[in-house]
Amino acid sequence: MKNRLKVLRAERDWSQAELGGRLDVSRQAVNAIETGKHDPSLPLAFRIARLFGLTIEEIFDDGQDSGNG
Amino acid sequence: MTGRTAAMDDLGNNPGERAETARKRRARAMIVVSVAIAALIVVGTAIFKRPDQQVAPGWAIAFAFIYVGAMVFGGWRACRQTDEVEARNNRAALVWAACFYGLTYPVWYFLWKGGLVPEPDHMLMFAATVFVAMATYLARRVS
Repeated sequence: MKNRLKVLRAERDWSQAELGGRLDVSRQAVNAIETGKHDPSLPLAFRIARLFGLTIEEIFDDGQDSGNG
Repeated sequence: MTGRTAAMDDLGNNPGERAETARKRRARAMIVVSVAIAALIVVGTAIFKRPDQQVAPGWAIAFAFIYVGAMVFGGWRACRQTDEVEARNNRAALVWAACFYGLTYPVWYFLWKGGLVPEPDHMLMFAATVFVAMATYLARRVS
């Protein structure tokens, strides 16, 4: 799943450790999410969205069309 | 500067990095304690080994209690500070180790019953299973 986490983090000049600490996850977890090796759970996705003041859809893109048909 | 102001200023100074540093410190402390307990059991078993290669029942019970206590308390502490990526790595390590044990031991047992190989070495099986778990965990960490 693609995401904008790295861009959002860079905009705030935060290191991976800084973001990890703010989300209560390890630096390795932030790296795994940024590189697409790990898709965060729903609670963590909500925490990330809340931290950046965005919706989950504005950060994560599952590549599916969001139209209703 | 009041205490509250100082605390707020402190919080504003990379609070995430501080939390991450504290997390790393706790993880390191757990590793040190785990290694110390393992060393205590291994060295203790060697020291209190009798000429017949057995350990006195009292010491055997003591080591068993230390091991169970360390595993239960250590596991509980580890779970409290484990994030979901770490939990995923641990889960994969346990699944691979369980598959290894579940396949290897019965095959060795059947071959032993058939008189083809020596009796299964339980210590070797335990060590190999732990090795598979650690290798899987490390492979996921570095990939």
